[in-house]
Amino acid sequence: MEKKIINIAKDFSEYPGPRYMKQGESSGEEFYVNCLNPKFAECINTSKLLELNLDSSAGYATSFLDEALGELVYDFSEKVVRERLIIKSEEEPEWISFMESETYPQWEKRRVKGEKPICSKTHLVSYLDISDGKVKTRNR
Amino acid sequence: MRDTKFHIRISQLKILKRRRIRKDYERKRNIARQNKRYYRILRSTSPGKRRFDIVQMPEMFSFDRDLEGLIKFTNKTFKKYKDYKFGHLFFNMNQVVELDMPAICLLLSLLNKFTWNNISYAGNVPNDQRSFETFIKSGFLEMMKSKSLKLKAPSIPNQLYMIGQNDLKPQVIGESIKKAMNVLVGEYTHFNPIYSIMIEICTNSVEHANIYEKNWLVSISYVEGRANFILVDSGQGILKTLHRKAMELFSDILTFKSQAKVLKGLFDKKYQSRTNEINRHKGMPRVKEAYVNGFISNLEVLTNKVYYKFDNDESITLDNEYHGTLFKWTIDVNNYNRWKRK
Repeated sequence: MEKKIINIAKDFSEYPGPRYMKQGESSGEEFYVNCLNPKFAECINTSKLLELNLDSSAGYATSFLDEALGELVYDFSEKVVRERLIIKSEEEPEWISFMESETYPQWEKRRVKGEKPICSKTHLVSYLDISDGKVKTRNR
Repeated sequence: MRDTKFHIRISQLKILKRRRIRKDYERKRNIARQNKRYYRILRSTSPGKRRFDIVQMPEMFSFDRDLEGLIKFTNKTFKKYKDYKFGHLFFNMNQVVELDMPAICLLLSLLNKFTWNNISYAGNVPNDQRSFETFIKSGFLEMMKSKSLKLKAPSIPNQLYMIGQNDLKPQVIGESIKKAMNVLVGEYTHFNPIYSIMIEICTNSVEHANIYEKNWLVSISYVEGRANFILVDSGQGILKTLHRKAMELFSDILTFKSQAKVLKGLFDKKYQSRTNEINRHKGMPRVKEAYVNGFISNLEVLTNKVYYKFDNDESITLDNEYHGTLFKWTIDVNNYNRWKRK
């Protein structure tokens, strides 16, 4: 299967910031809304894989990755994210296990419970409608 | 009959006129009174007659040598002068004989609080040569609008900077780490774990600190091949923003769990953050992880009434409460190499 690549340092920011937009620049929320969400939706529509490369940045706060990847799980479900997303990190491989063991299951729980993510402002995001398996958009 | 009516009408008009004159007079008098009050306030705050006081700094103004005294001084000074609006304070440092970087950071944090309260300040430098050098090298004067004191910058400048009130600037943090690495390893490079924990701590500060008088600052200083990092957040302190479930709180009270143990538990991921979301509270354990993995050394935390040193697993319960949080650690080439080899 073909794949698209996102390198956070090159495609978003060398200095990833906090969790929410209201907390500062280059936040996880901003990365999700402007970069990860549209590209992941595109990959689903075109039957491609998405590779997320974490290398070459200054480092990550847990909150940045948790928010970005967590919202992805919330919108597309844990199963789809595990199938379609490949995370790569040679500099800090511990982030991969962190996300797979903590972020994914915790956000899947939130998705099932319907605990919406906190947003700094209203965004238009793509999501997977489980009932018909199609990617749609909604305001959040 | 007609005349009587006419006379009544005339007298009514006279009464109305008198009333109008009286009202006009009262209105003018009220304006004059208000102006008088206004000018009295203005006179009391104008430069010539504004309130002024001298703050005598203690001889031992040191975090390492006299932590209790330092916290007591900052608390007392803030309490005494916080309502000194439009006043001016002069900090007399002449008699200070012991001074260190964390103490300078706490002083700066205190001064920032005064700035938010519209209190201006000035000061002098210590007479003691060693304290004077520490003070100049700290970068404190670069943060002040110092006109009278133009002193040479040290060969390796310390980095002392403040970041916003409500949001953080990751690039500033990242660049400062690169500068520090340039001094330590001779290479302008990233050191990811340090960046991670600094963003964690600062995000915490932005999220939980009180809105008013909130400020946080970063200091990176160099001593004998080591870089000393200090992060000061003048919020409420970690222990006050901690969320404990009812059961946890009950069990902590029953077992007489000390504040130090609660703080330790926080780094071991035993509590949730105030937001109470299941995916939160991963920041503080990450700080400890960096210490355990050997990417940072000499990690120490001061918050509320607890001073916790990770090196000896030693915690000190203080008599005076520090309203905020101070993180302190060091890095050297070995820490960096350990991370690279990992």
